[in-house]
Amino acid sequence: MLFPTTDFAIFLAVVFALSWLLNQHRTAWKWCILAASYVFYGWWDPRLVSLLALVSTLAWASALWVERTNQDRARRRRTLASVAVLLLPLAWFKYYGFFALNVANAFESLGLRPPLPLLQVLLPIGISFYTFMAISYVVDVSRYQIQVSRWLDVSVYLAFFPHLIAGPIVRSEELIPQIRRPRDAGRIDVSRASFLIVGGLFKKMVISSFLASQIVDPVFGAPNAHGGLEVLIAIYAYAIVIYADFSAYSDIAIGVALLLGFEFPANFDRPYTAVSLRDFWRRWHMTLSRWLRDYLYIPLGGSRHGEFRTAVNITITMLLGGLWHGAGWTFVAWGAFHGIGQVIGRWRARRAEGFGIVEPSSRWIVARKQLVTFNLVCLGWVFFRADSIASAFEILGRLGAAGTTALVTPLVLLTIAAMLGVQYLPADPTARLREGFGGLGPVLQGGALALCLFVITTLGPQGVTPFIYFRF
Amino acid sequence: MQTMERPIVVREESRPQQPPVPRRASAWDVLVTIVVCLCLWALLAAPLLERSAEAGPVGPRRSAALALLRPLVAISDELLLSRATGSVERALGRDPGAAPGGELILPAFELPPDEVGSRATHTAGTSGPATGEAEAVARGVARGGPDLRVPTPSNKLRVAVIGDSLSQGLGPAIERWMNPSVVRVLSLGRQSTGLSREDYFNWEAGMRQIVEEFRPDLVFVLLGSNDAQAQISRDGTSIPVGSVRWLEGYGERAANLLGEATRAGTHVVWVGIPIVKERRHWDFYRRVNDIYRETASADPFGTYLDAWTPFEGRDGGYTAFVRNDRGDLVEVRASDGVHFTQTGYSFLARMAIVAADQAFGMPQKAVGFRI
Repeated sequence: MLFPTTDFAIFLAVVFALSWLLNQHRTAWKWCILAASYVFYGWWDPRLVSLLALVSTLAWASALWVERTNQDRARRRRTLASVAVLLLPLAWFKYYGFFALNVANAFESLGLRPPLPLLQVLLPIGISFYTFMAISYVVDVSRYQIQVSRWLDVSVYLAFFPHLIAGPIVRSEELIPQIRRPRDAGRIDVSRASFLIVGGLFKKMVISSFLASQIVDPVFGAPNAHGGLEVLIAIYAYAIVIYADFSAYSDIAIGVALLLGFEFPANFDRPYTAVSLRDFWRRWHMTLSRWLRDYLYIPLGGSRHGEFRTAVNITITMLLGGLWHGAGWTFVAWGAFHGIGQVIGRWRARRAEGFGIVEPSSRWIVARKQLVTFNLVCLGWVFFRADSIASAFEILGRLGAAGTTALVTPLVLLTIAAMLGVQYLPADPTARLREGFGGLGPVLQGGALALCLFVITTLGPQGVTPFIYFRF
Repeated sequence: MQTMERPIVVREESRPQQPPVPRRASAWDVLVTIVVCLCLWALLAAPLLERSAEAGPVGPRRSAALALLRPLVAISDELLLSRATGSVERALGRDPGAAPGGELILPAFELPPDEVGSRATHTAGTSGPATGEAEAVARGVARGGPDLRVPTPSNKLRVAVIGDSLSQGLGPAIERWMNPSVVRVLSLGRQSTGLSREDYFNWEAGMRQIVEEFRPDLVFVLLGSNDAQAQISRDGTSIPVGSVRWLEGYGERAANLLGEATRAGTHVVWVGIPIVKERRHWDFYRRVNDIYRETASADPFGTYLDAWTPFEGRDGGYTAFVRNDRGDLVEVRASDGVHFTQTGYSFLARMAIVAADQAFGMPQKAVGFRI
């Protein structure tokens, strides 16, 4: 079920009423939310529900198995085995096709018969997200950070519909306690929830759709037909498209969770104001960043074994982070770009420290760093968006080409500038509006929201394209 | 990625001032807000929702949605809300009376002065061909119709790609193979469209508009994958899919679409529906492919491209992988079993351009590969 649809609006109204009706009866509430989440997930393909239930059960059983031993080595072995088992469905559904195709071509180039059959496996939506949450659950149990919960709690934790498809990647210690305890039915932050949901819908249906259809898709589809200026603006526009699309999903997810009385962690913090690639990853998809840090980078050794090992660990982490986004060489290249970029940034900072250089942090220097970082991030997005490495270089090669500028309209430029400008505002521009909205009665609030939704429906495109991060 | 080992702190956005303490609402109040919001939105957007429901395939879901929405539209009319929302739609640049599939908006394109209103038609003769056309007519005698004209940077070859979502992938791929200094490609495909549902989007009228405004030299048509449903005309007449009348009506619509282009001297490459993963669709798609083949072959300005066979596996079934020029295996089909990957669209586009060359003599300088 897609968030910006009538189906979901009706679903949410029904689930909201049931959720608060059963709030004090936690077991009934959990069963109700689990059923609702399975309906939400099975809306695309009911067969996928069994996969979600299987991963949930595997996570719960693995955690139980890990918890049964107190010996560190045995615990570590069991954790590794559990993580491997949990990764199997992801490996099969997401990476088998890519792997088999590359192996087949490698074998054939050596005159050998390909050892694996070529299959195109349908990717279950959201599998990367709930697999990572399942892994974090088992590892947290292994690290004595949490105790094993009941099967029902784990299943609700993994399947809870607001985060199920595209995050945020919520940790068990954040969500399971909220699942267990009744929520406060008298303290719903309706204004924050409403602004997140309506703002998310606007970003997705108006901003992202507009820029994608007006300039990004035409230019990335046929870069040879466009001049350097169009290509440059299309790259900047894509940076906005992917931010508007993905942060929209996170905002709506957080808003919907708030309506049900749940608090999710933030997933974005004005990412295009970052002053370095490392800073960018503290602001972009923050819940994935901390997952990679806690369950991959630190177990690899983090920064504890010298500069070289640190550089290797950063690169491996970002490479795998890139591959997490998709089974393709473009994602590997994107991950490598960010990994190497961070290593270089770290090396430069260390070198400056070694020479005793303290860079003055004037406004202009910060602005220069922000500009450089934004352009580096945009350079990375070219690989992320392109359908092949060759296409990415073709797009970059067109930057200096002469050609038409018809797609660079004032409205396109204004939209990009506005979306970037909002990130640089010192205070949340909607704070006062939110306060005013919170002071309205429920009927007036409903009326105001209806008007906003109507404008979004009218401005939005026919039909709804899936969120970009659904395929990850 | 955060590279420092320290406890997780999910930061609030850094702001100089503390945000005001939010007012909290009770679940009951929020439920009232949600219900009021949905009801009012449904009333405001009732005409939009009705048009959207009408666009759905004929069946119980569509009937139920319409049964629910028609009273809402009546209430909206009574309360004059529909008039107000119509004004809002117009103010936001949308025509409230347009078909649910929307209007075709062509980008601004300046035709060379000798092309405006003076295009030769093959039924009315070929008097006064523009620059390059005389040569093309001579070259095309052997093919039974005039060739595509030789384009120049000041008078580019005008190419349009129309159809459903498959054509939305084909359009940019064709553009990629063409030489942009002498070819202008417009990718005008519309998602969820076809020939069955004129009430949703009327491609015959669309083609008329394209011919009038863009005067294309060549049009690639790829549609049909959404057409396994009852035909509905703009006046609401419905013909069930699979009936003899449906097939006759479909053939008529295909011929009308083609005629709108070829009467104006536009060449048309009709790309058949490619093989799909779901076998249950095969009979239907093969049958409509036959209609496209017969229709396109009957017109000297039309040609048909079989896109089914080239994407079959060795066993005659569906395959997602084919070999490229270097002999490497590449994935050409999307995981939905209908659409293509970018590589696949590139293959299909190249085949379509070669088909255009074989039928109408594509000028070499218009294409970015050796034909």
